[in-house]
Amino acid sequence: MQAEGVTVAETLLDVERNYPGVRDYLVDERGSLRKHVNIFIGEALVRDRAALSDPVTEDAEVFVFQALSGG
Amino acid sequence: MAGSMLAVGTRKGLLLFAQQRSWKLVRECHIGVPVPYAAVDPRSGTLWASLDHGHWGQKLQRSTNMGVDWQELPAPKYPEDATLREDKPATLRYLWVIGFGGAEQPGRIYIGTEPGGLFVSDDGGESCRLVEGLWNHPSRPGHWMGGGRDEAGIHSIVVDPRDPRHIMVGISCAGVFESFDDCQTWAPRNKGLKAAFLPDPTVDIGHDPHLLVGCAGSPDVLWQQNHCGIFRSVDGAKNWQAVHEEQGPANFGFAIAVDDQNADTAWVVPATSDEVRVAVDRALCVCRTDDAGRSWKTFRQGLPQSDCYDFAFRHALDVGADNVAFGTATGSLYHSADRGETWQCLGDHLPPIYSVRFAAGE
Repeated sequence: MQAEGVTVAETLLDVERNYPGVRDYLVDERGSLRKHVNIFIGEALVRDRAALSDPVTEDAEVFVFQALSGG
Repeated sequence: MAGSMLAVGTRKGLLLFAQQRSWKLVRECHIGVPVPYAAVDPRSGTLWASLDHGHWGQKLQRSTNMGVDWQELPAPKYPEDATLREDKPATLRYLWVIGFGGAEQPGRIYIGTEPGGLFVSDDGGESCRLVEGLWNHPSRPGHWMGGGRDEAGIHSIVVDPRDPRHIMVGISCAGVFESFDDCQTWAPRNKGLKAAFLPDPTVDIGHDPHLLVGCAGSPDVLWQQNHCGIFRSVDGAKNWQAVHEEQGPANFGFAIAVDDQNADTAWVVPATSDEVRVAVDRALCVCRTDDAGRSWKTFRQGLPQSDCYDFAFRHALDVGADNVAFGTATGSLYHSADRGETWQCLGDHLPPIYSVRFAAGE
């Protein structure tokens, strides 16, 4: 999907506008990335899991993965 | 018809059993997702489930056709200024129990959560708000602590059938709290309990009521399976009396159920002790009292009596008329049609079972 934003947090807010409710699956009520979710910008894992302030450049690809966990 | 279905919340989804000629697993829902609690709202017949996604967080779901279709509702959110100790932000960790308001409050839903927040909805779960009066109780920062979960959690909600503005909750660890004014103000109700894990076992706040239940027919009678035994109150939780066996199995455990009309009759599923949470002597039993806890009968017929490590989590026992059912931490589900005296296994290779609740059939 296409989304706009200069940070990961802003990008997720844009995704939320088109898919209401999806953001709650990825971040908690403080906007922090859930413990067992990983987001990559290109091949780089986001560094700021608390506020998702990592910059997203134009045409960047952002990937959301379930982390490996559980039993 | 009471007792014709069982909603079984497990580590791997919600399983629905129905009593036809025999009990059968008839539907699986949210398969693969832990379901800490599921129950049917007796006012509407709506099936509710809390989901504990390993990746995607806590979710609240409801179904108006007994699990065929589901609707996800907004999960409770702690307000921005809600903090745990030392200004650590409070965020939702677990939806431990779902409770239902009085008959004259059709949209009233309660949700007990970790880290210690009670949430209430008046529109059938479309939106909910933190009960500030309880969250802001002055005892919370210094005297509430984790018990069963890392942070304090609300696992029991008892609404007075005579007056739905009168509510009690069970908090681990804090104890029993009561409100007479529709959740505005709260006071602890733990007199007579024992907290052997604290420097002062008779403190007002800091107790671990594994489960609090009330008798619908005698609402002033309450029971709790506590971390430190079984306790009963006959005066609306103002005073608690220990009613467990000192030597027999009816002592430590998590689950407790009381008869809907006879406040002297209650059931527990014992485990060995707080340090050893397995079946007593590796033989599973259910204990029932018919005389308000003065004596307990132990029933074993139909339950494994050797090499057994089962015990029941706090929400995994329920009673509906003469039917009793419980599930175990090792994935066995049992049903009794004679008030717990003999048992039939409905499945012994199920996922770990978190909650068992009877419901009317489809």
